[in-house]
Amino acid sequence: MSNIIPILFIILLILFLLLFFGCLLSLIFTIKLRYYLKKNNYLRWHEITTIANVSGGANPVRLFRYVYSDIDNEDQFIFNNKNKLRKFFNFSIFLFILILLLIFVYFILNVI
Amino acid sequence: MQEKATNAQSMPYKFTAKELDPETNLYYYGARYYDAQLSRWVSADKALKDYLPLKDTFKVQEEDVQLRNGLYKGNAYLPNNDINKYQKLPGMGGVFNSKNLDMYHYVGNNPIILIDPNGLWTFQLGLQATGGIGGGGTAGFGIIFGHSKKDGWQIGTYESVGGGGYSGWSGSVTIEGAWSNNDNINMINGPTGTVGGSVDLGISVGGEVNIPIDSSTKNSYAGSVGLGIGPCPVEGHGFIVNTWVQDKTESIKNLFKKLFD
Repeated sequence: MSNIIPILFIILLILFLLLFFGCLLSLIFTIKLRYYLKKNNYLRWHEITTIANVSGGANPVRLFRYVYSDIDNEDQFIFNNKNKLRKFFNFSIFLFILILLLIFVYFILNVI
Repeated sequence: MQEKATNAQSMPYKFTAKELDPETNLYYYGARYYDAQLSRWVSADKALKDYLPLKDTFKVQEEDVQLRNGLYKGNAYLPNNDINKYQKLPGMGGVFNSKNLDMYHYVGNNPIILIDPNGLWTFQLGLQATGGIGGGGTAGFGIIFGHSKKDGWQIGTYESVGGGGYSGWSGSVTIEGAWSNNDNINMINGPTGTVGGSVDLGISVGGEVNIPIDSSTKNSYAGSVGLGIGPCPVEGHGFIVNTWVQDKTESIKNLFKKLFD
């Protein structure tokens, strides 16, 4: 098993590049959704970008809850954007957890 | 092949972006010096041992002795002339490729088309938490990989902690990947000056340049993606970060040997 290090490296590098790609697309579609909401539904935009009355910014908990809910789905643009965002979020979250698991397994193997 | 600069302030990095030593007129490639006027290395290739099929040679020698003593219990005696099985050796055929037997040649005597970039790099992948308001901090841990002609593949773990100026009000938990052209993963050890930034809109995407305090080691370049939160969705930071690297190459090799052999 002398090739185990390059195999591990290639697997993790591919996973990281896919995660980077997934997060980049998620960010682009989040910006698109925020821009649309700010123009057409200011109250909703304020809701998903505010942390406990601090100010506008980013609140991932409210953003995720909004994207995975049926709220505003009657608007076709929001409906399509939320669908795409859900796919990218699921893809990125899966890869994020997978990379974390691999890192933890590696650390546990080192401890044994 | 050598180009002379006409201006008074000559850049030290010339042929294939390697440093020219003005005293000896040789290019420094890390493992060896290169004479551009002769198109030859000035010392022999240290990777020779990688080209030799030592394990198989010893095995066949052992079988040879057993055969001569009438102790060989194998089904058939196969002489060590199967060149095809050595095609996967480094250097496209190892010692069976005649170019590899010339210890002083540069890129197969074809410097117009080919370069020898050393193959030295490190790659870190780990979990990183960063945040701040005006001032900030970062902490992380993960796996580090490396490869060089001299040391082969390397693997280890790293932890990093740092702090400094933070122009924003946000926080992020990300997976960070960092690349450098250092010779060895242990060169990542130590303090660096880090300059970077990120966009934190629920999803966080960022980048960093890590400049080592020790000038003999090279910069590393990082990208990070994950979850970001904060009233100020764009941040920039300048940190002093210390990294601790533990080389686990041998223990990992032994562990997988035990698991799979």
